[in-house]
Amino acid sequence: MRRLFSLVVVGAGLFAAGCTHAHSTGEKGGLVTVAASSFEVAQAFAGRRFALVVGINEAGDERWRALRFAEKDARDLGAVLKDKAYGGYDEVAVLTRHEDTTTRGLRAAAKALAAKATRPDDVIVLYFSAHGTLARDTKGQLKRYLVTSDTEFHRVAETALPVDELVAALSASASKRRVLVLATCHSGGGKSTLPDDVAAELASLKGPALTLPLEEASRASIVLSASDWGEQAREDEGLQNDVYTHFLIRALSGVGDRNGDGAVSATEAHDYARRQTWDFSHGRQRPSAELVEVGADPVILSGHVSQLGSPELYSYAARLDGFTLKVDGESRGEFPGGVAVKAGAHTVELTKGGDVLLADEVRLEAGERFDVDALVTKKEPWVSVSLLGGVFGFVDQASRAQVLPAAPSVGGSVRFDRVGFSRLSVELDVSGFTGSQTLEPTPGMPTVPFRYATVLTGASALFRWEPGGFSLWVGPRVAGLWVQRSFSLEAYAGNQSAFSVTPGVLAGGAVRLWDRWEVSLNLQAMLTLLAVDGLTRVLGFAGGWAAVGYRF
Amino acid sequence: MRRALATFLIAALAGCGGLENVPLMKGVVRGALVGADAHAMVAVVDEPGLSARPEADGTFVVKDVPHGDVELLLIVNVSAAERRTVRVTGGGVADVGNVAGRPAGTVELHFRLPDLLSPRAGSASVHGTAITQPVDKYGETALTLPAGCYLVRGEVPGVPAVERSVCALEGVSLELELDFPRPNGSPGQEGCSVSGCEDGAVCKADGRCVRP
Repeated sequence: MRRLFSLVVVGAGLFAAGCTHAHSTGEKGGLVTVAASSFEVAQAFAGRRFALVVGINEAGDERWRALRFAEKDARDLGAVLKDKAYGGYDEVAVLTRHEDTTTRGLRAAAKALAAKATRPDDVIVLYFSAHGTLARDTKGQLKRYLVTSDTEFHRVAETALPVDELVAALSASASKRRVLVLATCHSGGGKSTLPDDVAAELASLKGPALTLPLEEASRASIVLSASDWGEQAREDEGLQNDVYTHFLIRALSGVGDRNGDGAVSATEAHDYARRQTWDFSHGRQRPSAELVEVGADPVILSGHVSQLGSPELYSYAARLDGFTLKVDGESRGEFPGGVAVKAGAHTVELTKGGDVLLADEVRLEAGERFDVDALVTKKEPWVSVSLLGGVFGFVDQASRAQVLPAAPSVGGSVRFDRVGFSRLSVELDVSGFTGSQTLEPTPGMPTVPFRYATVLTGASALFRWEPGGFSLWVGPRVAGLWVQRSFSLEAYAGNQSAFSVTPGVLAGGAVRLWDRWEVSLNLQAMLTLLAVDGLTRVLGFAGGWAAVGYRF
Repeated sequence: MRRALATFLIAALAGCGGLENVPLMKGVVRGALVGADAHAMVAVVDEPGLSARPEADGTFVVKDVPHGDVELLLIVNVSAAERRTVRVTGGGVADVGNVAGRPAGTVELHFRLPDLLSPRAGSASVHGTAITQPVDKYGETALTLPAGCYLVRGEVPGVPAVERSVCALEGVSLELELDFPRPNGSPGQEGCSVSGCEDGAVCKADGRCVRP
C-alpha cells in the first residue's frame, strides 16, 4: 500500500512538473503541488493505535488483599499513551471503576478493543494491573486468570477472566500488531493470592507449576508479563506504582528507544522495564515476555520511526534464557532481551558459565533486527544418520504362522530435520535380515523349516515436537517390503519372493545424548497387499526399531 | 495421466511376485513291497486319486499326499497286505520302509444282474480309495485287502450301482453277492443297450435281454 502510494506521489510530481509547463502556455488542466515531507506522508498512512488500560485495586473478594497502585498504574500508563509527545494513541480507554472492571465488562471491552483495529498495521494494546491467580478449568488444566472486581475466591474458573481468553480476543482482531501487558503474577505471593486447594497443590510440587502455555498466542502477538512464573509482581511505595509498570512507563517516555529510531517498540519497552525491574528488585522479579514472530516488524508503542535505527541483536527464545551475549568480545547482557549495535560486521558470542554455545560473524545494516536464535538454529545439526535394529511382523497370528514369522531387522536411516519448515522432518530408512524360521502352513500340522530374507525400505514425513531435551514425531510413511522364502525340503525345493508397496504411519522419538549423539525409537504400523497361493491378502504389519544416531 | 498414475499406484500396492504355501501342504510317501506281484498297489485312504503301483523291485512312491497323519492300504500280493498310518510333513518324505505285509483277507464278489443282463463290463472298488478291480464275464472278481472293514461298491454300465459293507479278516476268504436292481430307465441306465446280455441272450429295443 505504501509502495503504491509512493508511486502515486512520484507520478503526481512528474505529472505536476509537466503540467506546470502546460499551464504557462495558458492551456486548461494541471495539478497543484502540495509540500509534504516523507515523514508526514508516513504519518498519514501509519496504523492507528488503540489501548485498553485496566487497573483493579479492590478485587471481588477481600481475601485478595487490596492493591494500592493498580488503578494509578492504569491512569499513569493511559496518560503516557494518550500524550501526543509519546504514545500519541488514537483512543485510550482507562477502566478502573468497580462497575467497569467486572469479568463480563472486561470481556466485552477486550472484544471491543479488538474490533477497533481494521488494518493489519493498527496497534492494539491491552494492559492489566490487577491480582492474578491460578485455577483448574473445566478440563482440569491449570490456567492463569485475572482477578476482576467480581471474581469469587472459591469460583475462580467460573468468575475470573482467563488470560488465554484475552489472547484469543486479541488474535481475532484484524490487527497484526497486538500487545497484552500483564502487570500481575500468578505465584500466590505479591499481586497474587491462590485458592487454598491450588496453593496446597503448588506447595507440594518440587519444581515450577506445570501449566499450559498461552496456547492461543498467535502470529505477531506479544504477551508481556510483569513477572515470570512462580515470581511475585510487586508494588512499591517509593515508586507509587507497580514496579514493572513504573519502568514500562519510563520506557515509553522515550528512554526505551535503544536503537535511536525515534520510536519505542514493545520489545524495547519490555527489555528496558525488564532490566530495570530486575535491578530494582535485586533479582527477585524477572518480567517475562511471550513473543511470536515479532521479527522485523516491531510493534511501535510510543513515538514514531523518524530514521533508521541502529541494528539490534535480540532473542526471546526460551532456550537462550540466561545466555550472555557478547558482541565483539564485550558482554552486552543476558537473554532474553536485545541490544543495539553499530552497523557493520560484528563477532557474536553466546556464553554461559564459561561455555561458548555459539561464535559467529554477522553483518548488520542500519534498521536491521537480527534474531540471534536464528544463528543457533542455523548452527544446529539437521541431518541424523543412525544405525538401527528392531523387529517387525504381521499383526495377525495366521500370517505370522503361514507367511513369515516376526523377524528381526538391522539397517540404517537418515533423518533430515527442518525440511521446509521447522517442525517437518523426512526420514529415509532401509533395513533387512536373513535367517531361518519355521512355518505352520496348516494349524496343528507339522512345521516346515525355511530360510528367509527381508528388505524393508521406507520414507516418512514426520511432524516433530521438541518439548525438552527430546523430540517426538509422527507422520505418514510409505515403504517397500520385499520378502524371499527359500525351501530346501526332501520333496520340495525352491525360492519364492514377493514385493509390495505399503502405506502406514510412523511415530517415534529421540533423546539427545552429549552434543551430537541421539538414541531414537520408532514404531510403524503398515498395511500391505501380498499374494499368497494366488490370492491377494490385505495384511497389517507392525514393527519397531531402536537406533543410535549422529547428527551433522 | 491420472489413470496411469492410479494404475501405477494400484500395481505398486498389489506388488509383484507371490508366495506359495500349497507345496508346503503336501508330501511324499515311499517304501518297498517285499514279494510284490501283479496285484500289488498302494492306496491312500480317503484320497481316491492317490495310489501307486510298485516298480519291478517292489519300490513305490506316492506323490502329493496331504500333510498330516494318513492311512495307507499296502497290497503286497494276492495273499499279503497291510494297513498302516504314517505322518506326512509338508514338503517332506515319509518312508514306510520294506513292507512284507500280513496275511490278506480276500473278498470274492459275485455280481447278480436281473433280466439276463451281462456283468462283463462291471467293476468292484473300495470306497474312498483308488482300489478298483474288474469282474470277469461271469460277474466275479476278488479283492485282496488288509484286515479291516470297507464299503465295497459294484458298478455295471447301464445299471444302478450297489454298495455293501464288508469286514476282511486276516487269511480268511469271504464271498459277497451284489444284487443289482433293474434299470429304472433314467439316463445312463438303458439296460442291455449299455451292459450287453449274457451269452445266448439278445438285447431288445426296450433294454431287456431275452433268449431267442
